[in-house]
Amino acid sequence: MGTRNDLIITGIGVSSGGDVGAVQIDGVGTINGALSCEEEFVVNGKATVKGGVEAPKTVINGMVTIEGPLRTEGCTVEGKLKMEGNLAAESVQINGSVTVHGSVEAERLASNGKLQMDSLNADEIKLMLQGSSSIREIGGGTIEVIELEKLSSRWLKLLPMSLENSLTAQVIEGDHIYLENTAAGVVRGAVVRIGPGCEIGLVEYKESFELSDGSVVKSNARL
Amino acid sequence: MEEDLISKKELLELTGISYGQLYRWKRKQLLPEDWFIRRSAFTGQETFFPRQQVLGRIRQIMNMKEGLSLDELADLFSPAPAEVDLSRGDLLSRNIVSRTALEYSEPYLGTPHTYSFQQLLILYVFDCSLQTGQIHLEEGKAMLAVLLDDMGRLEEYEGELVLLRKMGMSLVLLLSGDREFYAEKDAKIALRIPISKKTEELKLKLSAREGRMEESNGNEE
Repeated sequence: MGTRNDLIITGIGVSSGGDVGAVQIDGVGTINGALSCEEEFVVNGKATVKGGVEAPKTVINGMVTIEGPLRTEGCTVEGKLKMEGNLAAESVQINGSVTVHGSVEAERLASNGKLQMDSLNADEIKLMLQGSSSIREIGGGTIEVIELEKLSSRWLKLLPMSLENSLTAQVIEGDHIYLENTAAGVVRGAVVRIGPGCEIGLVEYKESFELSDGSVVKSNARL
Repeated sequence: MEEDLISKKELLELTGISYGQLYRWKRKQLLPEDWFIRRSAFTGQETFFPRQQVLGRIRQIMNMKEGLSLDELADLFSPAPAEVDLSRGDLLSRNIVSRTALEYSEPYLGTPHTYSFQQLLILYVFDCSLQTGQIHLEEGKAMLAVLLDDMGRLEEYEGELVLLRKMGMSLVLLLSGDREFYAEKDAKIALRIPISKKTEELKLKLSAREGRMEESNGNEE
């Protein structure tokens, strides 16, 4: 097989993808096919990959579209990532916005921003909400959803669009769950704490359940 | 058979595992994606599992997770063939297949230097069917011939080996996939062996360290 060549784009460039060493895109890059990287996949700027990506490490600073699955160990997103396939990683760190038309699986996922996903399965999930996120199904060990800071500027609230920091989900399941500003159909867990700003249809818990003022839980049941 | 489902809630209660464990095992593909069956219930969406399969698998995971890492377990349960490089001597000393089975297979398989996973699987299935005591040697040889010819056609070794008997005549079938079949009334099903189960058992045997056998192979002997 020999050593693979690195794929480096500085400025504007197009590549057909394939098996490469490392990928470094500074500027605007279009990859017309799947990428299998032996080393890290780094984008500073904007990139579109018309296929899946495999890389031991993924670093995105800017805006990336991947029209396929992404399989990686460490994944950092500063900016925006949009995907058409599933995302599988060891750990995911997000600062910005991530849209995945598929499932996301990781051991740890920490995010500060806005997420749109079909399902999220991770052992440790920490979401700091900014903007409106929606994830149909969330499952894992520890799940924490918090609103880091309230929208400070009052005039922004006058705008006709929704600028609330919120999460919408159908099902949230985990061992330890803490939620803020979340609208969910069902929340199931061992220890469930519902913080402020939530609207939950049903909470099912095994050990304990707490409900803070200003949140609505239509029904709850101890299993 | 298809309809015997267990809800996620009941599963957790029955087995005592946590959501965290369930989701971790799903991520590691210890529980295959197509066992998660989503149905709408009055509380919204609920997930169900095929009862027998999921309970059996969870029991296996609980029994073995002390000795093996989750990734090793995942290899064990995946239908993909394991990497093997074993000689005849290894097979005998590690008690993977019996000497009898090896000897009978010689006219078909020859005496290769090392055996491939597929060859091992064929030998193992052959050996298991002989050891049930339900079949004649001649039938066993017919099985061996079918397996050698057609095992490669099975997708990910999903299939079933069936021996039918009718009025002293026997017929060996290798069915691909997980299908039901219906025979004439006076035909008897002498033996049915699900290949995927044997794949799992064989991998278990292969992964067991020399000398020390796993106790979870309950249906041996």
